[in-house]
Amino acid sequence: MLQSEEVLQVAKNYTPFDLPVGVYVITKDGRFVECNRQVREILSLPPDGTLDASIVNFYMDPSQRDAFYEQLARHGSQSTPLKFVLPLKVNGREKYVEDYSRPIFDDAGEVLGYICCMVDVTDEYRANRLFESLPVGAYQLDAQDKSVHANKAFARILGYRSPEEIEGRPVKDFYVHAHEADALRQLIDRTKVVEKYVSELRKQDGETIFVQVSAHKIETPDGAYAGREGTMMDVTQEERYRRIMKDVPVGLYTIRQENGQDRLVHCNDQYAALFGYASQKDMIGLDAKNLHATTQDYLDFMAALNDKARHNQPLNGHLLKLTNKDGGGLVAEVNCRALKDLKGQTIGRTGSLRDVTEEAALREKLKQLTYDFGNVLHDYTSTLLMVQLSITSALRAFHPDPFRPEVEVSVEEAAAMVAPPAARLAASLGQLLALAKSEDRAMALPAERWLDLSDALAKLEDYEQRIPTPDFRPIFLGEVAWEVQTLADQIDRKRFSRELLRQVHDDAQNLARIVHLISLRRTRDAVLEMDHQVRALREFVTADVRRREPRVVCKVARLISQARMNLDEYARSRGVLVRVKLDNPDYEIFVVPREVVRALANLLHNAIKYSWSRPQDKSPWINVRASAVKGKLQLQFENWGVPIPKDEIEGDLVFNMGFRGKLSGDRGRIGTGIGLTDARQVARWHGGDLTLQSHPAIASRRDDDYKSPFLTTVTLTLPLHEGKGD
Amino acid sequence: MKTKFLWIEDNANTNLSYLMMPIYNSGKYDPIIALSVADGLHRLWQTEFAAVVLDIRLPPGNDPQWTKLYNLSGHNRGAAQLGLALLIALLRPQESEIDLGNRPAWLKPDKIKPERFGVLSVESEFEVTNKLEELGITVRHEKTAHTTPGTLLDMVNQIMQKTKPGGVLR
Repeated sequence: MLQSEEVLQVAKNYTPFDLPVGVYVITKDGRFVECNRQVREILSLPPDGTLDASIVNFYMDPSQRDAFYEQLARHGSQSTPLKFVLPLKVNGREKYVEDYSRPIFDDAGEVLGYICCMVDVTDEYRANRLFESLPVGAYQLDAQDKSVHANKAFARILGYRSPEEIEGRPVKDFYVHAHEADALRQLIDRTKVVEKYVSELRKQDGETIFVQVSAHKIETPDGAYAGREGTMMDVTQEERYRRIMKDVPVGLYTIRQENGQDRLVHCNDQYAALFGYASQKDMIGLDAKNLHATTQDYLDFMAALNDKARHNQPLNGHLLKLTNKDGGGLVAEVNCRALKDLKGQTIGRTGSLRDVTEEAALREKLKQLTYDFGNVLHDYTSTLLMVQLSITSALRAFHPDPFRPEVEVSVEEAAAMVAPPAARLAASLGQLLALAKSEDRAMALPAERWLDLSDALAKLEDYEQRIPTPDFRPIFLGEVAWEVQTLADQIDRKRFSRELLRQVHDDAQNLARIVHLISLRRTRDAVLEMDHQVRALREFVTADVRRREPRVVCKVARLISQARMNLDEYARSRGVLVRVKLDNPDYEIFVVPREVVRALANLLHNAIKYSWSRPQDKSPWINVRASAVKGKLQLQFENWGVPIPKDEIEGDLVFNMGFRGKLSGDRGRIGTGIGLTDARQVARWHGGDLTLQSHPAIASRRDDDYKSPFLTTVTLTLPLHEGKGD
Repeated sequence: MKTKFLWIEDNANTNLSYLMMPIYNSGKYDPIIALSVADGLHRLWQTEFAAVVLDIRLPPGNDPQWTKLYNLSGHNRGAAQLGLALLIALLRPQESEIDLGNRPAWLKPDKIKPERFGVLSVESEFEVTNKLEELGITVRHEKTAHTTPGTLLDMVNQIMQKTKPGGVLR
């Protein structure tokens, strides 16, 4: 007998109940007819004896039984048994069985009962359920790193609907940087296990995410890499936060107040680096009070923070003086917020620190320089005063002064004033030279000196032709007068009449005196003009250093009067008439008076400076007019004189710091190029503005005829105080 | 007998010497010059003056209290404003961090008269006028290049006018 036949023969001696799986027969309503040992073990039934039990009693949900039988009934007598995974309850515990049932029919074809098999799959079921329902992705890769198996969470993390869409795909497909996949494989191959390894992946829709992988190597029996399996968590938010903490160029921290200490509970490495620590781990737990330079600094900071906290506001931009690990000082800008408990009590703070030590030092230096600059300018004022007083004293030495007192000497006046003494000197010198033609008198001076005197006479006689620009004539004549005086003093007095020589000497001295007067008067005028420049510059430079003064309601008339008073002397010296007209004497504005007076003085100074002298006895004038337009004050400063070219106005160049227009140096006018810029800044800071217009004073003139006078109007606009006077 | 007045001004002998000529020419006054705060205090303690004119940006002189105050300002006369600090110490001792010690009778808090003081300084009106008015000082001139030689004499005359019996006191 063949061995197989023998095996079959013996096998036929076994019944289905001898199979190594649970086998049982039940009636149609579920009562056990018979079952084998495996079923008794699965269902914890007595190991032997009759069975007085029903499978229905083991169903987790008895109603499932009906559905189950309906399905069996539909299945009918098909040869393949139906397979179900049934959840059962055995002794109160959940158990899962894989159940194969087949109906048994009577002769009439009615269901008599069922013959069934069951296998206990509780462990597998639970494992599978866990695998599928895990909130983390679980996966398995083969030796080529292709996805063999993945759970739903894995698919969901990567933005896919089901694991099937992923299975079979190379894992590199999901990496933002493919080399990172290789690196991880090599690491696992080498170490066999990795934990919390962070990779950057790309989801199906292209979004990139960070995942944390824990996996172990699958090995062939000889230890070769056969794949890997593990879990994957989406840690995008945490990783991004971690990277921000790591990369952000400021120190971030959280401090909790515990037992009278300000305990540092969290910070990043940048925070630690600020204080000279290698890592944030070295700082956690420290009492942050000790990081402040002094106890008073800490108390001041806490007072400021608590003040803000009372209004539920953060404390921003506060400067802190701190101490690093080695006792060195640093200055940091802190932006932080108080942390409160449920009762509203402050329990700590969180915020950021930025090292501004260098910036603070620079600020301090700038402040110091500004003070120093202010001091230098202060000294300038003293020096200018001394120069002015010295000149005033020196002018007495040249008495009598033929010019109008306290009024600038114009070019025309100067040119006119030197003409008569120049003519007188020419006459006396001519007389001297005529007498010198005789032989004995020629001996009174070397021949070349007589030639020099003849040359001087020629200069005196035709200086207007030689010097077309009147500005230079006085200086020229001064030089000639000095030359004549020097030469005349060398003449042998025995050969000429004393009276004639004295006449030449006196005439030369008188011409020189007038020229010196002009020169000194002009120097004094320049000093007086410079005085405003220096004071205005000092005000401008130190404006930011000074504490910002409060705004107050001011009468416009008073502010104009103050600015005008500051420039009274200057206007007088220029002979400029300042005409002020206010449509309403009660106009009020809400401003910082010091700032506005400075702006007004700048505008007034410009108007005076750039006014041209008028012919004959007419004084140059400035019109200052105040009116109200739509709730705003309009202050117009109008002057007649130096043009401002169109391109300088249209290009806003006149308002550029330090800009001086191409015609602003007309007749030696000096300036810093700050006045208009400063005035506009002041206007805008108060919610107003500054505009400028300049056009030919004579309508028929071209607007680029800069030899003709222009009417220039600067308009300062400021909000009227509550429409007062509107 | 000429009236004694004190001018506390570090530039009195140099840049501002021209301002003294009209004083001497007037023949009315016997001016005493002090070049620093310490020097000024020394003079004030020695003599009763009918008028005192002082600068705002004064050097401290040889006095530890004033030197300390000056040093605290970063050795900066503009920031220290020791002239103003001196006026506060004299006229509002309760607001001052300087203790002037035992004062002569005419400078006792209940005797001192702000009308006797005037300020001649480079500070603009907005920088010090309010503070000076709070102290009761109304005779004030801003030093500019336009300042005339007669300015100091005018100021002393104004002070004398305000302090004489029946004078206009503000």
